[in-house]
Amino acid sequence: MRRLGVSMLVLALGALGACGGDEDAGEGNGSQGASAKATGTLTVLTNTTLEPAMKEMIASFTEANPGVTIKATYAEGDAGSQTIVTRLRAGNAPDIFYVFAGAGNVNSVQPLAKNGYLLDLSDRPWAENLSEADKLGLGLDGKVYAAPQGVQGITYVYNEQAMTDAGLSPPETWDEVIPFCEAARAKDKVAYAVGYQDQWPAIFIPYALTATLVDGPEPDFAQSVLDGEAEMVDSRWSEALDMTLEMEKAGCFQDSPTGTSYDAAFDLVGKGKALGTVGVTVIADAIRPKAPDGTVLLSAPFPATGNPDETYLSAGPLQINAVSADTENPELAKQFVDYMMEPEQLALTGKLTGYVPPFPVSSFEPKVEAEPLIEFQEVGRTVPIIDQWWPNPKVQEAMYVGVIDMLAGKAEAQEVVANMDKAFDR
Amino acid sequence: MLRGSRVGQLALFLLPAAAFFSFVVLVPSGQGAAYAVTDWDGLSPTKNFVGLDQFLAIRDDDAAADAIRNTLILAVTITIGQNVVGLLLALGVHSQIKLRNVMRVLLFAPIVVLPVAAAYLWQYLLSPDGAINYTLRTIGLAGLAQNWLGDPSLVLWSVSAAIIWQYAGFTMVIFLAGLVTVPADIIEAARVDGAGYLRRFWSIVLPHLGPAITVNVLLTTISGLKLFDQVFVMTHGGPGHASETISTVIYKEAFLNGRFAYGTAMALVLAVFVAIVSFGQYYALTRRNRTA
Repeated sequence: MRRLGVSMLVLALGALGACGGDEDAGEGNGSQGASAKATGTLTVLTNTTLEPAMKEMIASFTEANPGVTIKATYAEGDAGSQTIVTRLRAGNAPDIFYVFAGAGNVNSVQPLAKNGYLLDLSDRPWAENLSEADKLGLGLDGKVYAAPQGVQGITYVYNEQAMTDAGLSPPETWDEVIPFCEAARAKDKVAYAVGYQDQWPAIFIPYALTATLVDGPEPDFAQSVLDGEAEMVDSRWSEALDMTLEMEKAGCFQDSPTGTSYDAAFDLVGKGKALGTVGVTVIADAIRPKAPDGTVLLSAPFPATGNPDETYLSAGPLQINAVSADTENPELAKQFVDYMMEPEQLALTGKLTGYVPPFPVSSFEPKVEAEPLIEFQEVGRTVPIIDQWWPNPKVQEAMYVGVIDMLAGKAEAQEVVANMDKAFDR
Repeated sequence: MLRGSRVGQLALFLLPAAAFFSFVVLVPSGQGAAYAVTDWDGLSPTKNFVGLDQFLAIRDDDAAADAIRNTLILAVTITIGQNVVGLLLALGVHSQIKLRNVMRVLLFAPIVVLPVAAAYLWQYLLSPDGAINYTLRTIGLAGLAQNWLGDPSLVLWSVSAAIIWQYAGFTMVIFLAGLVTVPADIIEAARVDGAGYLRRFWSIVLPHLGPAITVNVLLTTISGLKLFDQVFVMTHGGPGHASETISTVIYKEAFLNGRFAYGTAMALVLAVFVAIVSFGQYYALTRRNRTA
């Protein structure tokens, strides 16, 4: 996950995920890819987090369709994003590639669709099963241009053994957070590992806090900012940033947080030197290889108030596939996307990667670290990841640079939020 | 007629290189300059002329101001540091020490490492629990262990040190080429006359190194002003904007923030700035060499 930005309407707090939907909402799709006996060659560029599932799906699809060849490459974050855009401009983009929801990234759905780079997928059978909020983020002018392979939520991912050995448990209210950090320090552990050398991971704690402080209680606030009817400084955003600073001063983070890379932070959690880290739940797959065999990684919501029942989770589609409008095999590309969106494949994706299907799938067995996200979806306490509301990537950049400047004593919370407002307008 | 034929032959020889240079350098530079006066986001099929708006936006951009300041600090630090270290290394391996040839190879070796690979290596070395801090703690100097890449007051010096480590060998080689032109008999005569090492260096060796100094200072200044790889890998321009350079801002704005025209405007500003500094430096140094 790098940057997300989408202009969306949250129609209901449980608009995302499995709440209230029919079981196996996508089951009517059938194995269109397998039964069509398609032929041709496809190129796919997707995120490395999807790689385990993508390899399996390609293998099964091509086994059912021997005349099809699918060549996949895998990229991470920014490197993949700017590669996709450069190749789109050059006219040699892969047939299927990953995008972000909304408008806040250079390879987001809306700017690409607006400029004619994406194939309309509105008529695909899985499209009717998307929530209204997803349709807005993954489309433009009433059309759907991308298929969400998985949903993620921002939680506190922690090392169960390390937590147990320290005799601690994740805090359920904000009042417990600082004492939790102090207790961890007393046991020579870090409560919350952070990787701020890479800069962008500084988004996670503020995102987790504002889900509860801002967007949960006021689901229309983000839209009103977008419409120019309110400003970020009018909200509890600066309070969330001050809480982040309070955590740093209380020793919740490891020493030298701005000198530690995100990967090094995963290392700390994997080895048990840190109890956990706040991020999208799928980071458990990045931590696991760094941990001893048998290490169990769990997740818990990150609280922002004194009442755990007030806690909301930031959640949204993060593994999203789109089809190039210039593909030479549009029907084959659509068939493969349809195949990836079949319930069995969504369940497989969830099993192998930690993503949660975008709509209910009965055969889905979540990884243990994804269970809190599913629970919060079922009770309607998720909100879209906030930067999906932002019109451009500069707002997010202003936020995470501001957080790091605050840690260095070079900025105040109000000033950072004012810069975020300024970035809205550019 | 012979002269015309000769000119024609020269032109034929130059043509492929000129064509390649035009295709790879001149045409893209011209296109970039054209984009800089538009509002193009890099995706849209339309580009609207906006005059100097992008350049005025640079003036009002705090990140750009930080980047310009950081770029100048890095360029000056690297130029001075790399040249001083390179000269000292050259003087050392130019002496009659044993294994001087082996030393020359070892000191030049870092230059063949890819800049990105070297940057990742230094990122590890300079991390809070990296080899440098670990060594300091182990030998009882824990107080000297720092947040080398995460402290805004240290990050530029840390990046400079990594770059000087990698390229001092290159500077050394150019100085070595200059040192071999110093007449040994003049050095010997000066020694016989009682001139000490420092006097011989200042009055005889240094003037002969004029051309080598010109080349080294020019190259290190230009590379310092265009710095991207090491900064991007080691710090991503952080913490905050503390190590942002003009090149990293250009990359972020053009390729990550969808402000392609703004990025090309910054690139144009950088190109003009580098050209002015380079020509000015070259003029000053070659003039000095002529009068020396």
